[in-house]
Amino acid sequence: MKQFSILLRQPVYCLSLLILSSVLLVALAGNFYTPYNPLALDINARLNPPSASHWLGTDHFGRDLLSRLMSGATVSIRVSLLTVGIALLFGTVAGAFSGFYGGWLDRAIMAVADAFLAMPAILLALILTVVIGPGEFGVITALGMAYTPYFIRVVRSTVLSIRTREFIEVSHVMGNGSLYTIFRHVIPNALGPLIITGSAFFAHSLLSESALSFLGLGVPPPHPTWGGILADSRQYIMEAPWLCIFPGLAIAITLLGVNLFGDALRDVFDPRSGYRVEPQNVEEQKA
Amino acid sequence: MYRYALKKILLIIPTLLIVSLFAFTLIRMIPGDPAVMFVGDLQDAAAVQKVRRQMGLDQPVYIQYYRWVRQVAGGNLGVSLMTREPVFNALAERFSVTVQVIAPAFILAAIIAVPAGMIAAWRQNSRLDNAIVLVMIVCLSVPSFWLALLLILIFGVELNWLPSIGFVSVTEDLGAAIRYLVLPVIVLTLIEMAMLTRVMRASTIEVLNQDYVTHARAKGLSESIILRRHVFKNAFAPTLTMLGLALGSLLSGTAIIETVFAIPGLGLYLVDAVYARDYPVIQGTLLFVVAVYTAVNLLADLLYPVFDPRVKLQ
Repeated sequence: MKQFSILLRQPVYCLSLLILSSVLLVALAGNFYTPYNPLALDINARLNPPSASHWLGTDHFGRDLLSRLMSGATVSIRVSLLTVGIALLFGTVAGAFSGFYGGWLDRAIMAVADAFLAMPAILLALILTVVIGPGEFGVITALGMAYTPYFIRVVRSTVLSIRTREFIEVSHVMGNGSLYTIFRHVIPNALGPLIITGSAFFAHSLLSESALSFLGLGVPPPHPTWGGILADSRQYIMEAPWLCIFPGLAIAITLLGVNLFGDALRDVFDPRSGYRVEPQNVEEQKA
Repeated sequence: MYRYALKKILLIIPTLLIVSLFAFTLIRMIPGDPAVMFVGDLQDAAAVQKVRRQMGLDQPVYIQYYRWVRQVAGGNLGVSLMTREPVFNALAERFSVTVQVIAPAFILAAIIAVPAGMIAAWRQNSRLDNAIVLVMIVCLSVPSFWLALLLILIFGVELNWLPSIGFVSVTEDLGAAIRYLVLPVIVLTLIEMAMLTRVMRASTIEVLNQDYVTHARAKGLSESIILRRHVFKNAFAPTLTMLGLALGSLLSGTAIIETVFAIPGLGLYLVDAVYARDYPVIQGTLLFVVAVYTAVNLLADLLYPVFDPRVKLQ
């Protein structure tokens, strides 16, 4: 709990929380209420600039941009959360087994993980969407697969550092099975690094999902996605610059919130990476 | 040294093996008969049968894999379904374009990030440090394709200073080439710079806390000598590894940047192949990128002991 009181004293952390909670709120609200129907066409309101009736203007089909961004927020955040969830789940299980058992299992898991790390993630995702097919399911599976090795590495290295500690031995002596020991004692100790990695990859998946949608390989139209709206805006960049400015701003603000949040977490949970918290607090936390 | 190098080289073998298996399976997982797709005519059974035999599709899978690996090792990546052009030749040509975009971005990012990270760490928690960290976080948060569109909007459309999209090779017309390259290089530099600065800052902070730095200060050495002679070498080693990884993100980053700026490089080649379901091209690009990426990371690993000799002992 001490970590969190340190965190709350940092203005940057509070700012990131503010940004993240507003984005989440907008995404949640986008499920139930948008000023206009995000899919409704209105030929009379084509490419209207921002005004009192359409706060962020309208697109080439006369659809309200604000409504589309709100509904796009839902898609982006759902995809990113599920992607990180998949990578976290498979990465934690594989990494924990790899580090805990060692031997040939470890070598096999790490060989596969290293091979997948040799393929740049967005490239791998791009190629996997060909096999799985575009759409929300394709994006989540592809990105989840591409990110899993990173989680495997994080969990494995944490497990290796605690495997020989007394409390693991005690758990064995108490007659607990390996599986029980892994889930009850090993994985909880990897939570700190996992939260940091998770927040970093939440940002990565948000960016990659937008990039894939931008390339037309993500969630297919007419469903609004931030990347997809940006891709459409290219044709109207001269007549309707707002179509290009606002969706990008939405992505950038969300990413800023996630990155600031991750940075503040890293300062506290992983002080070696250059903390900006007062050093005596970090000492306290270690003790 | 030789043992260290040998170990690093041997570690690549399983990686390449698994990637090749993955790339091979990828093509098998695609619905439809490759021979039919190549002929493009379902009715012509004789031609399909002929192509099938030519492609070795009548053989067992492991023999197909073995033959395929031998072909790939010899530089034969097959033929594009769209253009009927050998994939390897096209890749080499496309890569020379991509290098012209990546190389300046890579060098610029390193030149900015290394001093920026060191200065931020040296003046840790000062206003300067906070400013550098904030700028880097903002750079990390701006999506590359949006930044690219904004730059096109400002410099290409509104001010009309630079061409918005397109590409001219450096070998054709240097002046024109630079004008076309400015915007894509800026976008790629800003994104790579942010990651590198972060790593450089973190590793410099760690080095600055070492006893030998305190000792150097006690000897009365000036701060600039301490930073340049004592801190730089040790702090740069982790950044070197990161530089190798940065190349990977540059290689994949070009897929998007080249699409936005219509640069006929490796990235656009892959994206077009994905749209057209041109499987030999997709497979070939994957293998090519992995080969380049692995080679660069091996180089970074082999250079590591130059900056931090301790790793040789492990």
